[in-house]
Amino acid sequence: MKIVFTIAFILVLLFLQIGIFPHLDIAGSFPNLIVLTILGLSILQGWKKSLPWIIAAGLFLDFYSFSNFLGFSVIALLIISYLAEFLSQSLIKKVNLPSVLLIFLITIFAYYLILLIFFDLRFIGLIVGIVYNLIFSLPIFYVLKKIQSKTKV
Amino acid sequence: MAKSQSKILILVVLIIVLVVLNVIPGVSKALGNFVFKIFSPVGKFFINVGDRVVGFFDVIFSIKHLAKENTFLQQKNKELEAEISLLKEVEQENLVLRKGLEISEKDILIKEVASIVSKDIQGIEDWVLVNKGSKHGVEKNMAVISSDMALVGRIIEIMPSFSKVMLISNKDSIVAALVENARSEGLVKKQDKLFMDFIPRGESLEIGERIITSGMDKIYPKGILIGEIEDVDLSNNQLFQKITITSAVDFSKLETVFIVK
Repeated sequence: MKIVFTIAFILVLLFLQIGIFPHLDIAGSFPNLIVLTILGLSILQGWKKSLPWIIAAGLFLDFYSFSNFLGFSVIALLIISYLAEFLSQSLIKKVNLPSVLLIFLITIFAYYLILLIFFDLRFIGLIVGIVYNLIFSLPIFYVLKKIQSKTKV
Repeated sequence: MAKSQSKILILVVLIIVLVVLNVIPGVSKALGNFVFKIFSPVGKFFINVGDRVVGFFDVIFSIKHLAKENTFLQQKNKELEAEISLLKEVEQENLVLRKGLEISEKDILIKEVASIVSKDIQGIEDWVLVNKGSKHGVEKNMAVISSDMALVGRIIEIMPSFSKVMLISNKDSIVAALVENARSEGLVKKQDKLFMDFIPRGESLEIGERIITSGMDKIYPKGILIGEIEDVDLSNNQLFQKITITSAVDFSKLETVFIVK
């Protein structure tokens, strides 16, 4: 039942990403709702508990991305999810607004570095992408926190 | 602990399965086709909803400019009506000449009408997914144009029921082009904007002039509208002039396209 909920939730995010977010394009970049959700969940509950989310989201990202290597996004999300948990639990003990922002900044930057393996990103696109995702990260994080406290995702 | 170990085991198995799927040719494409088949109606619905929402806000923000725009459009309409009547004469003459030369009436053959069912969700590469594939006779490198006959891009990947279209706004896209009046040839590429360079400095170019495909790349048929000249760069230290182009297509609002041969 939990996996059905996970897939359904990821699908809603995916279609919002396809339908709405391309219209928010600045210098060819727009926020990645799916990546931000995975990062938020990883900070809140760690990468192991987020594994079903990572697999479902990664596979959908792969199908709907330009990468011809199936599994690339699963691996990329796993790496940043592990990094987010490591930063939130080992390095930054207290999860507050600045620390959450810092974790998002580092992990989003890491995600773009991973993307550079497959994609030829322009510098300006990369910077705008990081800043744009960072702006959306906090609202998404607090929405997830609210949902988690009510439903135990 | 056992639960955590089983999760890691599932992950390892999944990664092995994915590697195997990537190694066997055609399997990942078939899987993609299957996923798109299931989810493309929902994807299309969300794309339409997104377009409507953005269109609604566009209307609200543009209300104060409407009166000015209306006057401009009325003037433009009169000009176009005059141009149409002139073109009708030319068309008639053209028909006679074509008949004489036994040339097909349509140099551009519309192969398929396709709907856009998905867009690049990472925003890194400019491409769209259309709901026509090899089953419908779509082939790699076929040109794709908008419903108002402006250049959209070309087919770069084909699945049985779907195809990926690389937009001309993709940084890897190159289109052999022609300035319609000046007849200067060059290549249209994308940096921050669409541009065309290596045009000799002597050529007289005007802002607003139309850029069309030249057909020299053997991919895009000749005469398809690409856009208009937005700016001409005549920097002194350059042997050539470079022009910036505004595409005739609003890629964020594309819904239906034609695949042409």
